[in-house]
Amino acid sequence: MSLVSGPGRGGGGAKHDLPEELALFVDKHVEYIQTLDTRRDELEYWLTEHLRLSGLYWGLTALHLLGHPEALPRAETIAFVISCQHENGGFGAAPGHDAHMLYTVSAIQILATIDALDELDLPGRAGKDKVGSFIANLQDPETGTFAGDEWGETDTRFLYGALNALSLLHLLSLIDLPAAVSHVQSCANFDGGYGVSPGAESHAGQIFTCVGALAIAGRLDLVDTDRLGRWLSERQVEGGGLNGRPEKLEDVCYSWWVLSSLAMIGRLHWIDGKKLEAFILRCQDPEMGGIADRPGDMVDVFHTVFGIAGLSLLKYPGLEEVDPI
Amino acid sequence: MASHGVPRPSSSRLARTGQARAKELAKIEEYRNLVALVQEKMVEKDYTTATLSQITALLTLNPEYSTIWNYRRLILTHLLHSPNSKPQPLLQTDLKFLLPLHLTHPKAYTLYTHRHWLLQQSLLLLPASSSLPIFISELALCSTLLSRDPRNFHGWGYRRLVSEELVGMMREKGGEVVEAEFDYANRMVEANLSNFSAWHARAAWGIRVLDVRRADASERLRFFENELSLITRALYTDPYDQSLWFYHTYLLLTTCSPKSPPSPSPSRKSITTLTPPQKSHYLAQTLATLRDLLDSGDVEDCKWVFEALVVYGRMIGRVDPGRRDGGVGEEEVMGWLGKLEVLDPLRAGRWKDWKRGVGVLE
Ligand SMILES: [Zn+2]
Repeated sequence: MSLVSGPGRGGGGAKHDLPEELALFVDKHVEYIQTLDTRRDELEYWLTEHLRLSGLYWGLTALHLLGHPEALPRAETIAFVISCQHENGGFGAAPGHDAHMLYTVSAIQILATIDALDELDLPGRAGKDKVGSFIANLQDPETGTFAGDEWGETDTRFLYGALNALSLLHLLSLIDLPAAVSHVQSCANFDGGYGVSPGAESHAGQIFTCVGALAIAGRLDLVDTDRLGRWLSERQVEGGGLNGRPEKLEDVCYSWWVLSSLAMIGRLHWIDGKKLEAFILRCQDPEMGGIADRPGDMVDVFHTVFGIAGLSLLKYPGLEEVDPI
Repeated sequence: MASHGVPRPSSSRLARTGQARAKELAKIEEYRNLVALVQEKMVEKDYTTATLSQITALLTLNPEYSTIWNYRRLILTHLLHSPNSKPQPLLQTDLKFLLPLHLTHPKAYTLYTHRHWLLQQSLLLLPASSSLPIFISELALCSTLLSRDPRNFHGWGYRRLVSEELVGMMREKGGEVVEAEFDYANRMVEANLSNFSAWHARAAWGIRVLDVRRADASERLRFFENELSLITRALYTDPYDQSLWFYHTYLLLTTCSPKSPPSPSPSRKSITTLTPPQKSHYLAQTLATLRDLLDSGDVEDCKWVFEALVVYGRMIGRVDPGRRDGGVGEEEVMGWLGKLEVLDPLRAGRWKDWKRGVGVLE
């Protein structure tokens, strides 16, 4: 799925004013996602190839939440995912791209979403265990954290991804889970949030990965719910959207990271869900489909899926239910 | 990454004229040819400076293409370990190559990953006298990036990484780095009070500074008082700025809460350990300040003042139940919570919970 942005804009640009009471333009979004992969005549299509497998996961998830799981052909989806796999079990973003944690996680998430994990074990393929060991080998035995690939960059995003994929594969036993949990704890800050590594400022995306990892590990008891709940709820700004850090602009994707974190710690009611819903709906392009980071900006599949997932978590009618983790 | 804050006029095919379209198609062809060429060279293991410069051209077109960065590191590794290799110029040329890319792509993870890798190579391959200046000039680069965007998350993160390594490299003089980083955070705070990234760094390095100075109990107490009076003055300047309130909360919750000193997590260490009467003293002082701020008359619509009154009003009775003045009455706390419900309806659910005593900060 291409990460090429536009053509539409949140709020439909300056051409027309949106009505106060907005609906979700389901058919427009389905069509938007379906046509993303046809835009090979745009340079951005090629410049974003290093994100393609994640893009596919985002598009596919959006379609499932919208109730149109059939909108992408299953066999082609599986074939593309498998074409990204390397001998070591890991996956790259597209054929010819090196294996990396992020795309390995996307591959597993895609296959799990369409109930095709067994495809990994077909004759001639690397098999689930090999995928599991690719991920497990990226854990640092000393600190418990995870690298993205052999080059060694570490980030709590990779740790969360590892736990997520291994739990889908039922292979969590391959790693040192207590060490991973204690690494997450070492990233905790006084405000209850978590940073990208020990000592780093709290950040909504990183909070999602850390709380998500603790949820998978069954250790949500370690979260300082009162402090974190306060920090997260203060992300909502007047316009209804949520930002990712204090004094930053609101953004649909951060709205999702914050919202799902609030859900995981049982504090979803600490923000105004109706206002957030209205903000997300204002970020749609009602004509060409897709959702932008905020009204007036270009749409893309990344913000489209997180906007729809946010609406689903807010129980917007007609959407499939999303799992906050 | 995905488009963030991109209001640019659509470059989509809907808007493209025939000429623009032809131009874009030509660009695509050029780009794809270059990708194909580089991939071919890598398959042939042609790890030469010629391939390296083709990679340079490709990464200049697309600095987020992570696989191509991996190729670059493969070639550099080969060149760094070949006979007659000159590691220092090789590493420095690469650091220089990254510079303009940082300015055009300040949020690209790939660039920081590669920089960090180059620094690690310098530690492995160069004598300490040569790698040290490289690390020091990296801090200057961070300052440049942070002066362009003082909230740049990557810039702060990379700065922390570099300075942590420097602390180790400087051995017994590592404390100077800690002091310098604390000073840097302070300067960034002074330049813009609402920069929470700088406040966060100030909190993190502040704890370290005390350790480096081997501060005793009275020095720690003085440091705490100094921070408290600084943030209090700042609150009088802008009581609507949440960055300030988060720092204020940090100072008081890590020292005066019934739960403090808190967990052993390094980033949650506290400046000083206070006795219950001391906690009670600083909480009373804080409550007096907050009441004074309210009495000044300009902040009646500022929810942060009421939030703080609720938190510390409740806390003071808990840290020292034997206080003569009896702390703050429940009725008054409920009054402040009522104010919060009116002033801050977005978080009505939180204030409702707080009224029931659920989820209050402590
Ligand atoms: Zn975003």
